Amino acid sequence: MTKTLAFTICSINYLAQAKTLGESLAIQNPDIEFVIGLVDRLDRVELDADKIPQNTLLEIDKIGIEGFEEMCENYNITELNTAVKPFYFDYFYKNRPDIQNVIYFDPDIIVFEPLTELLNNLVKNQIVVTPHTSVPIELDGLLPDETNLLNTGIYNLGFLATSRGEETYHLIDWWKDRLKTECKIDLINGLFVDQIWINFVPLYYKNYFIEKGAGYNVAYWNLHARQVSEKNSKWFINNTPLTFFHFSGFELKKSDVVSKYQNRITFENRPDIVPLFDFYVNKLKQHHNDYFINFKCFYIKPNKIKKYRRVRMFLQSPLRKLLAILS
Amino acid sequence: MPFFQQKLNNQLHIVYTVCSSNHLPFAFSLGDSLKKSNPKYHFVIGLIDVLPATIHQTEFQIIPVSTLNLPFFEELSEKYTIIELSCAMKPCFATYLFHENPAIQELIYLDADIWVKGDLTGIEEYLETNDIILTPHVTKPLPLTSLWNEKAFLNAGIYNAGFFAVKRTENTFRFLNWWTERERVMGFYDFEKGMGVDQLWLNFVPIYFEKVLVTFEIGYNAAYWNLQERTVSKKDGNYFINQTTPLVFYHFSGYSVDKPQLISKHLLSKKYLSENQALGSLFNEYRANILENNYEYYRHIKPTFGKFIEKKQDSFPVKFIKKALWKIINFIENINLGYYYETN
Repeated sequence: MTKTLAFTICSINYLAQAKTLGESLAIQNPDIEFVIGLVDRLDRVELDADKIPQNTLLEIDKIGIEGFEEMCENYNITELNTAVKPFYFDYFYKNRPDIQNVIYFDPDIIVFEPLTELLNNLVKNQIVVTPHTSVPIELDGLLPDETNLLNTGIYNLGFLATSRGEETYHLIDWWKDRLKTECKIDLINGLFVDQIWINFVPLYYKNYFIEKGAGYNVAYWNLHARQVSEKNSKWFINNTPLTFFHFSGFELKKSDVVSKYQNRITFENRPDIVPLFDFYVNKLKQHHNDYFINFKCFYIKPNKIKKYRRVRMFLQSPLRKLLAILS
Repeated sequence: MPFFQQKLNNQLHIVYTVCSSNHLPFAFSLGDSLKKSNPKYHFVIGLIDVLPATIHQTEFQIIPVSTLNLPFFEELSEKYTIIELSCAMKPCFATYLFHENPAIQELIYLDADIWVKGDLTGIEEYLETNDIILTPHVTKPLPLTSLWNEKAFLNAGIYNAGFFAVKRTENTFRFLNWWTERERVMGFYDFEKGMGVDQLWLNFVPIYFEKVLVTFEIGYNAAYWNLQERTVSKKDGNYFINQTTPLVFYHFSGYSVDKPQLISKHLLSKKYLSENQALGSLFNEYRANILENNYEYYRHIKPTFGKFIEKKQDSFPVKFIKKALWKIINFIENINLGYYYETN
């Protein structure tokens, strides 16, 4: 039987989410191994032993990323947590010859169904991605609109499934190379973390599959075309089973907001999603969200500030005045 | 009957372009190249302008944008530059042509600065089983260190909007309507806001619409952005890509008649034209065609439509001083005198 490994990446502050994801996978997909990639150091904090997830925790310093220190210097927490993604893929394929498929999920995802269909797709394809939306977003003036997706990427990188093969290896190497220095949020230069780079997948590779199924990667960016329902304690999206839901931008401390990144979907205008979020709230509480959420990531340094700020300003001011006169 | 009112009837094979009057020599050259390489095609120019006093070409059909009677045209003309406006008109003209002549089953759009050298029947074959055909800018990774790298396509779009072909189907009309709607509101050149005129929108097309073919055919839409994976050669007067594939069309994007040593203003390297004789000969032929088409007359025609942007040109010494001042400011700003860390 082919072996599949699923992993997520987070810092200690998101361990409640990661644990929730792991638990959901264990229920529906007991044959899939689950690993939490931890961008943090466990030896630098004291965690309550009874709260630490029982899942395998693989700390970032254990996978040997060349040039990791520079990445820490140059990236903020979001950039860093996304930039290490291909390095984890690489680590699993190189160190686990028994593994055939490697699947990434963001920690704020819950898997509700057996991933049978996805694993079948990975037999015929090496790369499976999900677009943010496969149905146009109306021009209603709300966020996100399609320009936001053009800025940040056609596909959502909260999910990426791969199977062992030449194209997957090539993708990982190419992506690693880019994310060492170009995993920024820098829209004017075309950049948005690891995600927008995946726009190139259909140009560079042949064995890929774009999963548009309504039950995959359901989130605020596609809820305009997807209705949630519940029947016999099973969740459905537009009458197909909900495979996995992505609670992107949801925070327990502001549990009346669907996502901090958008304003189209609310619990008032979408009562269908309320029971699903209630379910998530309970899970996060049960998995000690309040305890973990305040831990600071070991790798994120406070902002650097240049010395002699005032002297610099003073020296520059006559030059700036001259420039103003010239233009 | 004046040439620009020719009927579209009986014309089943149509290539169209859109441009303002100052770009007509390019459009005419595209038409000339079609006549030679694909004589069965009828060439239509969607003119985003009023007709100039003199028109030197009488064989191609020119349709001034006013003919379309677009209720939103004036609004767009006020907010968009002529480039943005012309790009926004691409889907409008497609819809118009399909509507005006119910017999047309397929349409090919080409930017005015494209030159067709080979047979377009390959596109017709693609359209037998597909509704929408697009071409990517590149098909292989480029090194981050190269003069021209992948980040440009993340901003500007992975497919090039200098070419697309569509078949008359409901699916195509959904695409054209969707595109037109977006172009009306969000057709600016503003990468920071996720807009890149008409082109960036194409990123969605294979996701949103059915029967979309992205063709990797190397003879299509060769241009400065893919020359690193395509070499132009010439044999018996015909052009080839990577030795054996006939060049179907080349896109002279960013080429300036006044700077014949550069392949594009976006790629300021002179090596391409000096190192590749065949490419040099292609560019020379093209340049001769443009000049033949009264470039000197049309180039000075000011576009009637589009937001007027005043280009302020600094005199040379002012430019120099400004540059020097910025250098000093940046030096003072960035010189490393140590750091302290923010406390929160």
